Amino acid sequence: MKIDDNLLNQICKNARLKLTESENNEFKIQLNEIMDMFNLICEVDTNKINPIYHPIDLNYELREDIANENKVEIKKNTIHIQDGFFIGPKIK
Amino acid sequence: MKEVIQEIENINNSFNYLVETIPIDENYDGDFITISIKDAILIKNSQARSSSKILNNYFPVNDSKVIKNTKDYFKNKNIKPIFIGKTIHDEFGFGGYNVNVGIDKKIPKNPYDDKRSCGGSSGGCAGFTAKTKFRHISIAESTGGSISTPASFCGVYGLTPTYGLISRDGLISYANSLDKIGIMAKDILDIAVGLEMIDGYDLNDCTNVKHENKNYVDLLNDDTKYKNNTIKIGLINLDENNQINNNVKDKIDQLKNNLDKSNIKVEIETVDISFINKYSLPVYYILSLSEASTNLSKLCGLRYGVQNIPTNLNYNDYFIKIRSENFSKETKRRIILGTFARMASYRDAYMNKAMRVRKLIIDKYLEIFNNFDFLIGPSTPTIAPLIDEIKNISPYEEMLADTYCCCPNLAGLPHISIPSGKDNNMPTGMMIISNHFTEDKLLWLSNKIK
Repeated sequence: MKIDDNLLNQICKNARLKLTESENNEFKIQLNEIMDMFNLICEVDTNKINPIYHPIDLNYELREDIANENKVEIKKNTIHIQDGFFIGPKIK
Repeated sequence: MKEVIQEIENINNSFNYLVETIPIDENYDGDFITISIKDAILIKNSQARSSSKILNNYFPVNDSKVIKNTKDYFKNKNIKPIFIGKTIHDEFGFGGYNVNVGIDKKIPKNPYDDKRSCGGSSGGCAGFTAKTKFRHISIAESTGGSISTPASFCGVYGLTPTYGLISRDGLISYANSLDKIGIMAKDILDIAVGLEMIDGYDLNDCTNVKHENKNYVDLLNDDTKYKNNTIKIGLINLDENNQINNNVKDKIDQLKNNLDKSNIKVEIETVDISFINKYSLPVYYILSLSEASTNLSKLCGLRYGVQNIPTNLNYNDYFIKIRSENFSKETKRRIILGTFARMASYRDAYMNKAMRVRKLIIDKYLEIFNNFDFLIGPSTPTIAPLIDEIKNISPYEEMLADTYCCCPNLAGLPHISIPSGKDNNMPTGMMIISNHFTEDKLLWLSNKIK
């Protein structure tokens, strides 16, 4: 598996990133060197193995969903506030 | 405290270990222990950027759980914790040499040779711990080697606890299934103190495993449960004959003598971990970057962090611009790789496959720990490299710095890097690994190597 121009463009679109031309050229070589390392795992037989999400067994204990953050303090971290709400860019 | 304040300024001016300093009461004259904190760990009202420009001006409104625990721990003690500041690291933890500094700060320098790397990603934690003359504990974090590597390069002790032992609440995540908050210190006693102080069950982190806090300090010298058993040690990664490996062998001899003196039997043999060594690096990077690429998707310059672009741009253009201008090249590369591994067409071949190989790797370790109490080997394959040399290596070659350390990290196993000697006047480290949730045993053995 190799990362070519088309695939790199698609990944960047998904990741909300835009590369400069020099980044694009530089990354393609570097990413494919890393891909050679990634491809090593293809040779391992994992047919009867279930994937794991954490390295230890977890018994998830749930808690009450109680808001305890200070809303005023949190909003001090942004200038994008209007009428007490966060504002973002328009969809179109 | 004036001397402490002066020392912090002097060290930082020369070695660049702190990105933020915390005001200290200069009139305090009681007993104290200074504490530094990796920038990725939140302290209320102290800027937290995880060494990234995209988090400029982010001031957390809460302390992380480890900071809350630390404050509680010292409440009834006759010693005061003095929080001195946030330490520099590779942006979001992305690096093994701490040269990937994403903010307008200088690369930290190795305390033994200022032309060499501190190791990463928790380079500032290790460097400051090595350099300060005062009693000091640094709260660090490891995803794939970010405690062991810098501890080894800077000649200090670095403990990475079992995944799930220490709450991650208030840690800016790199990879949720791999991140572990740990401790660096100048000796094993302060590693034990540090672990006691950050420990404490936390419902706010659903991956934090319910457990009773242990008295790690008291257990350091408690031989009772080891007296009637034979300690079995497996040696790993010692096949090459170089000074780093020779230093490990010397430490093993020292350990055997000390165990003999305590009338504790020990058996040592070489263990083959070639499967673990071969596949841990790709599995670690596929999974850590998959998780990182989702974690970093929340960083978009709206609710906190950098906000230097007007919101009248189109929705996607706004996020693309703010992310492309404020993430470093290394971060972009890692987001790209992680996004790729999660894409619908490639997910089965990479991310899901890596989760299966991870299971096999953990099973191999658990099989070994059925027969052995500890695994011991070098922490890193090399001494700290020159910063100028690192600038010329490829991102893949930089990843190789994690060759040894990523294995126990991937399996969530507790491990400690302890100073083992010198090679070309630079510190070398020895890594001891034990089974999940056996930190008391790990620290006990480490205490036998003095």
